[in-house]
Amino acid sequence: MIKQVRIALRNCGRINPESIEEYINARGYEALILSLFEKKPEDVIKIITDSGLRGRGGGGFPTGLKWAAAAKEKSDEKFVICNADEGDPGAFMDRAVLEGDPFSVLEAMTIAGYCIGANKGIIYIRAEYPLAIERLKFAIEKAEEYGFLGKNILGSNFSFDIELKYGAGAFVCGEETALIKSIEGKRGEPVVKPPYPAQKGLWGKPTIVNNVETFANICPIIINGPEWFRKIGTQKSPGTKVFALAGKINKVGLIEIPMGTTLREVIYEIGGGIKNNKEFKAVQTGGPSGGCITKENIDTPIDYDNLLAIGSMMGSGGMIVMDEDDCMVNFAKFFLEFIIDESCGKCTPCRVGNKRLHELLEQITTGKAEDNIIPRIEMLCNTIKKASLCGLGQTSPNPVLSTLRYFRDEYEEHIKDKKCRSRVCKSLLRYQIVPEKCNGCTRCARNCPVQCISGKPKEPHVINQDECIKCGVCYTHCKFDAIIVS
Amino acid sequence: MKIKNVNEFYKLRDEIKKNMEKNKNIKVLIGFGTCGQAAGAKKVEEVIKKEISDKNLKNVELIRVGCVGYCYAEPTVEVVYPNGNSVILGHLTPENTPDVVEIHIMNKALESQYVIPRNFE
Repeated sequence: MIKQVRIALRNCGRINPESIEEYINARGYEALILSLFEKKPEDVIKIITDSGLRGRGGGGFPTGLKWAAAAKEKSDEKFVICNADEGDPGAFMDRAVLEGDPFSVLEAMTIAGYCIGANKGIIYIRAEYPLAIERLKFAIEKAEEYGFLGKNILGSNFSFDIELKYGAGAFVCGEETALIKSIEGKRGEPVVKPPYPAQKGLWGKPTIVNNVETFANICPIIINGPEWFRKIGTQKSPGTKVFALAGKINKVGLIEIPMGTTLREVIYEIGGGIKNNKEFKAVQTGGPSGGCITKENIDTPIDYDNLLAIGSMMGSGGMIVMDEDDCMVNFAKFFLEFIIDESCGKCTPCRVGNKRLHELLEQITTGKAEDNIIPRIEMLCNTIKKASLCGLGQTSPNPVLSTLRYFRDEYEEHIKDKKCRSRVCKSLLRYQIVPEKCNGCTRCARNCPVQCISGKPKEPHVINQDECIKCGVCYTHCKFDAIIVS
Repeated sequence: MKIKNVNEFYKLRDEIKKNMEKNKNIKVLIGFGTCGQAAGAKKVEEVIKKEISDKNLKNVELIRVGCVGYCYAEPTVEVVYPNGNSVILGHLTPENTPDVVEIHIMNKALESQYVIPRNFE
């Protein structure tokens, strides 16, 4: 059995998150003391760079390089921001870390501050995480009381404070430049990079923005050394990744696996297989910015570069498993709906393009699409990708493109045969009564909400297809299996 | 109490370690993240508390911890015995919790129908 390796989640569920003593007992603040009293900032940055740690928010940018870039800048003020604006549908990795081990994030932020020369840390957290906020507030208070935060930490000449900023739940504010705008009190809209936040970030000062899970990896790396970290995972993506495993899987849960684990191992060994022994169809990683991984790639080792190569992405760690009952066109449409809601509206290709794209998919799922619709979809997708400013827009067509890549036949079936093989797209369904099986009990006719079923008692009934709204009530009410769906 | 230098930190840590080693209680770690609470951890906790006082169990400590990741089996509880052994119990309900308390806290059994497999060290 494939075992998980817990680095970011090392303390989650093991220690009382509201006890600084238990955190200290679990080697808490060892890394901070090592950094502050035995190492220079550049030495600590070198450890992080050598470890090969990459941003766990999804982009995969080397954390050490980000820190080094900010450290290099000369400025009277610098900032460390922790991005806890976890927004991917179905993802809750960061929440688990913040609720289960808040001190580890505070400690890592303090170390980051020491490395780049910042005295101020900000945790940008979504207001929908009240318990995480409560525990963070408690942890900040405790850390200040013990002298792990505040002026002259542990008697050194380094001072560092952390405050919380609440996000209002806008997905785009997880993008670092939009996040910074939001903290400044402006509209959460992305701006052009460069200059990167490491040069000009919050209030125009050098700023690093790291994800919660990235910070959760920092202390173990400093304590155990970069070689230890490099032994876990793959060469280009060392370490582990936390995934929120959801969807049609037996053991839904939060898992932390070494990079390089295959999807097959995740689904069948850790996840306990597909629900009700159905057949595996695909996994969506990277949320609305990612793509799907199908059966043919089920043995691909999971890391940043491999996932990109097969048309998906690591993302922040949502992993939604789909089985034969899921319709891929409908699935792509679901993510587009999310994007339409969450687009900030700054760039036309994203704001209008995704809306149009959604309309095209709607045509497919309702059987109204023209035969040449796929090339139009592809063109629109590519335009949105190329002409949007930020990551949200650039990646928004990914679910459509990736389902088109792997499930083109399913799209064509919808378009040409007006058929949905998973029986999800209701408009394409046809309910029919098999005369040989119908004994005329009238149950379907009595329950039909639009009264489109006719027939005399004790004689076979008929559904009027023009009036049928495909609600399925007759199908569930029939006790003689006389109604079939096609 | 503010720690003013590294020596004070090490002194505090030694003290904490000593206290923890002295502590020979059975620890009942109850998953109390948002997920655990949504699944009903609070009611389960109440039943455990009541059982502990009704049965007059000594040396049992109830600790709220974060999410362990076994979402499919929430609410979950991990019982850690003084010798370091532990079991993870899942699918708890207010109804089956008294049974769980008897099997795993009073009788310290390492196996039962409530035990779920541990998938990490």
